[in-house]
Amino acid sequence: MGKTTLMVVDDSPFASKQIQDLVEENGYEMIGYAKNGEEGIHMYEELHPDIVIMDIIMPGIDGLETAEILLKKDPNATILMLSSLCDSGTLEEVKAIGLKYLIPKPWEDDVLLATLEMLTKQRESK
Amino acid sequence: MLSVDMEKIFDEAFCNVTKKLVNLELKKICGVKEESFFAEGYREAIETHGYLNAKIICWFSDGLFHYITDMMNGGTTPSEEEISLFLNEYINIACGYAVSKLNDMAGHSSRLSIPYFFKGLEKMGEKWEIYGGKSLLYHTEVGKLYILVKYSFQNE
Repeated sequence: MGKTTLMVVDDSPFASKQIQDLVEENGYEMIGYAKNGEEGIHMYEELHPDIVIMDIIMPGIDGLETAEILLKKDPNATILMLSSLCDSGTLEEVKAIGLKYLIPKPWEDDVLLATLEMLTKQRESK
Repeated sequence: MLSVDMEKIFDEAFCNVTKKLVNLELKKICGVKEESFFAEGYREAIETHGYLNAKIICWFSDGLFHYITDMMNGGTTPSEEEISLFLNEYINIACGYAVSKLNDMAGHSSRLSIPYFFKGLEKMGEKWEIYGGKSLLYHTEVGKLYILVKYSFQNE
């Protein structure tokens, strides 16, 4: 079986570089980086990554709205939300669009990796 | 009305996030406001809307600005086009940390805007005129940071 492929949607080059270094050291393949929601939607349709890591606060359409659009287009899309806003209200908003996980920024590497591993296993068992 | 120590919440947020992101200790200075500091350096601002309506403005001295952006870029200076994006992420994470805590304490929701970056003496516009509010001043090994938080809670 090939490597799990990832795409990051985040306006921050810091987040994308940190995530790329971390995931590639741990056996994932990062195949795309989009700087905003609109770019993320087009890139997803082109690349079909296994997992999308999505920031919430971005210029233009935010990460929640982008995730909602992606899930309408592909109900099987696997999306992990990432945000500096990580309170219970934001988590409820994430759950309301059908997603389960919200990782706070700054993230702990082991938490992010454990969540990616869990999502990978869930995808494989479908 | 929610009774919170805004100064303590933002102090904890900026100290923890700065340590975690760029391994730098912020040392708080009390009761000092150096006017010359505000005429130079870099400024970054962000707003919150919802239960907490706030304007948060940060002034970075030149040395601290470059230290933070270089460290966040893996030890090298980011390009001119990207440099503000690193500072945007820094203030977004620090203020997100503080606002998340406030949201959970209040049981209400507030959202963060996209941060704004201002270089040197560039005007911040009328809405960013200097207001009174909670202020925090820090010394570090590489420069100074001043944070002003002007805020009100909804329905106050």
